[in-house]
Amino acid sequence: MKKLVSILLTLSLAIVMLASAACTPPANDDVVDAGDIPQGVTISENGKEVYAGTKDGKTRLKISYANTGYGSAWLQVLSANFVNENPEYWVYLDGDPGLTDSVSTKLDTGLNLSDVYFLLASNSLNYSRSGWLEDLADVYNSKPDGENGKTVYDKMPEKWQYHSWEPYLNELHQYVYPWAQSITGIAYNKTMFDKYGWEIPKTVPELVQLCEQIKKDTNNKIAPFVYPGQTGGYFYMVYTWWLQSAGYDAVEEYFQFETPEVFNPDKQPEKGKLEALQAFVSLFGPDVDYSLEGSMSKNHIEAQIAFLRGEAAMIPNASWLEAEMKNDMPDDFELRLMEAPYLETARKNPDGSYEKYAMACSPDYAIIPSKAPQKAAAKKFLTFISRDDMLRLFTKYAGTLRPFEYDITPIWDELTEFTKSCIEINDGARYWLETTRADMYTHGYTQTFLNTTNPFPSLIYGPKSSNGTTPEAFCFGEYTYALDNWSTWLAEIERSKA
Amino acid sequence: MKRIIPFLVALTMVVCLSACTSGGNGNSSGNGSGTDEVKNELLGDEYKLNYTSDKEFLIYPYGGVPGKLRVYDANGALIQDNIEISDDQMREYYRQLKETGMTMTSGGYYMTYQDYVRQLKFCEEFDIKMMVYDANLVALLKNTGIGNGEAVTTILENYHELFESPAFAGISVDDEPSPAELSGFKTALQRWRLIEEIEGRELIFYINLFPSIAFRTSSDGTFSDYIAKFVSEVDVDYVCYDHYVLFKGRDGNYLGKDFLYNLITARLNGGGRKMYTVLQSIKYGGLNRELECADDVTFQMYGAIACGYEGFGWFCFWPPVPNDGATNFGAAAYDRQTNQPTPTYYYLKEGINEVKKLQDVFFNFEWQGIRTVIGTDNNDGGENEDFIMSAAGEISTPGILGVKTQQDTVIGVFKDKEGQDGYMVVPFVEPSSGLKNKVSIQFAGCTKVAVWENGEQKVYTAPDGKFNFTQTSGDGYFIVPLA
Repeated sequence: MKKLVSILLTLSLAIVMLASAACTPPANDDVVDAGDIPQGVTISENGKEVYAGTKDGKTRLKISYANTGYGSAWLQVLSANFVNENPEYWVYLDGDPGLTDSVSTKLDTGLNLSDVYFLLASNSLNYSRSGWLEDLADVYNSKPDGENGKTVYDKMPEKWQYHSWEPYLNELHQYVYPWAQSITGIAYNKTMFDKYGWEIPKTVPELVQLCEQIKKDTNNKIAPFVYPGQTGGYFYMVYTWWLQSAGYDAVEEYFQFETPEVFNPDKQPEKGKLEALQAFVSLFGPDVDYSLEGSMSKNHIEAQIAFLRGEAAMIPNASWLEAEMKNDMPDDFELRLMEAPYLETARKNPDGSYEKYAMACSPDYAIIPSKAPQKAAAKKFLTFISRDDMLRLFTKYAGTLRPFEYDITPIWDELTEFTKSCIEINDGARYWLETTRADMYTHGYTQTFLNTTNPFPSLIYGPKSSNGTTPEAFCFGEYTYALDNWSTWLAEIERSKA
Repeated sequence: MKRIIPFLVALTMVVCLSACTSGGNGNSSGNGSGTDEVKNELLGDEYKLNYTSDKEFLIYPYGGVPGKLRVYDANGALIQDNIEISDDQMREYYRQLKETGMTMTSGGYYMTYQDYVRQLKFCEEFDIKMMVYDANLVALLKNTGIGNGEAVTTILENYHELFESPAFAGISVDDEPSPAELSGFKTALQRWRLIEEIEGRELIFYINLFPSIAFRTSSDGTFSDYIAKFVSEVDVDYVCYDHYVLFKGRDGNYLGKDFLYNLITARLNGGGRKMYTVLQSIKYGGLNRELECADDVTFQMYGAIACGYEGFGWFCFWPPVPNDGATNFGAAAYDRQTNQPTPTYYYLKEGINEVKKLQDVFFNFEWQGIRTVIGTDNNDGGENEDFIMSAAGEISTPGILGVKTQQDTVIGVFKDKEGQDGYMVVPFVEPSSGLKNKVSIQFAGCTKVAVWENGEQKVYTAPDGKFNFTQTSGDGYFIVPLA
């Protein structure tokens, strides 16, 4: 069984809504401002049914969503506004934490399909190639903000526009619609930082110094880091370090996989990956002791709880953390996200400042099944939630951005300090997410790390352990593996195209 | 130190068990607890039915006792390898394996042939069968570069120690072959049949299949196609697949919404063969959780039994490597640092031994289909996606005049040789939830019911055919309505 388990594990986790004062609880511990629910709209006690006036005689729009870190409140609020303006519909919300894994079975059987699915990052290409998805060109070409406004497509950043296209029958189509734009970094306990007078590190060496300082100041009682090893570690800063060293264009070149030389660790872009992994080992490797014992066996919730309990000062994480853990957060806990500190080899702008990058863990997305019973209503819903005011409501309740141009100034004061710290990381940064249509990638021969989806455990164990390795050995192994197999892979791809 | 470990584990067990509602049914007789007022009187032992069978469930671990021990640190780094297991320690491990109720072991990770040969002796001592995986043996079976006679002779010579052991159950041939690979077992199976003929006994030729979630594109075909292809291409007497549905999310534990779909789809496409499934006993990745109580074990088994399954693998017993490059695996029934039983071991032991009490009655009945019932406490708009996807398994049940349940419930429908109805009633809810399931059933032409309540038979009166009872998540009741 291990084979399938290995194939399926991937997923990025998610975000949720923000608690605010003077709120009414609709369901599931999620809390919304009464003022964001239009008058006359009802959200049922279990939070699943949303309707204006009555459901009688109206068409049901069924929306399934991965009920993970994002929670439900953002969807309840957006649905409430949708049915208010489109009273011919009522919305049924079906939250399922495991939806991303099980959706292929649902799409395959075609039984009892929902009209919209909001999924965590996963291989949507499989579904589009199977003909299971509705083309969303209508949504992308619509103008949610009125005839004088931009189309949904034009409101999106270039990288996300690229991500929206997927090949089917030798043509590109738009089958997926973006959900959240997560912002990654290192979450820290600001209360603790303030108490001990610790500074936010600007560079990786400063972060290493900070770890030593934390150990010294707390007499080794507080670990600098805890991480969710069971869930892959959430070491997103490694990707940011890679971007810092190699630059955006070089990392993009890597993901085109046009030659095995992209894996040559003596030059960029692989050199940047090597440096990023070396930075990783300087913080989490076998020769340092900066992590809470047992981190490797903790899943994301367990690691985050240890962090909230003050067992560690920092945790690799992202913009969903506050929303996901709001029910477990102590009242006096001040949470912030810091950007990944800069590598010593980080690229700089002509003015001497660092090139700034923000990295998404992976793109979550929505789809409409080609056999969905209410496709027109589903498209209407996706267009509706692309409207500026709905995008702002999303940010208010999910605590993160969506990949569209919209002004969040009107709601800035309603955001938590944590969300503000996340958005500040994004400000002025070049945003990168892993998305490519390169044959080598879509055919499964290459990926971010060759031979493994997660090299971090081996790097943590180190070369003295028989299941460990070094960054240098790992990257060299990637290069030789690519050289040995490249021509075979090319031939296989050509054969499959024929 | 050695003595303190079992004590600590036992202490942990007490804590863990107190946090779960265990499978026992403290309120089983009903006495009007259902929606219709009815008095079900408990009758004496003389009314009990006497079903016996020489068949037994096939219960086995994925990852049995290893050949040598490894010790990992808390982070999963391997710090000691190839630690010899003394005969006394090995005997203790096999005693523990036997006590879980396992009937066969699959051998541990990184087993050499000599490890298998050694462990067969312990299997014999504890009356456990051993399924062997040996890559060279499988390669010989598949090697079309040599003739059948040469392959068979070589295997019988090179692996004679296996065939000499009465504990040798057969071989594991492949794990999760792709649809395209299913046509590649013919030569191997043909040779294995020759070996069986020479040896004069049946020996398992084991292939475990993918679950539905592996079929993520239309070009993969469907799960139904896959199972049907296995049946047409691989001439064995069983179908086996694995699927793991116990999850933990931000709002707590939850049950995967395709457990029943997989059970039913495999069953309906299984050509009437014996049905096996591999169930979850390990935490891995971010969502699949560790077992928290024996209900986690019994639910998975009772759910499968309601669909007529009689073989149950457990993934895993001894834990695999902490990380295989893609997936992080937690502890299973044994701890990587101490190589001692974890609470999971005790949950398996309790759960399996409870379910095994159902064997005698189960093997006297033939599975007919299922009936699903949406519970009054259903919180999904009166729907259950898994039930809808599993509709192909639904059959009419004229023997049931009416049924009302509190939780979404699956009723496995059975008949014995004389046409006597039997019903396996399983609340299909998250097993560790402790949810109560008040059930009211009215049977046609019935005055009393024999009920195996989590394996224990009791007989009650059923006035006007009505029987009310209350289950807890993780329970499974097999009911035989009697005239």
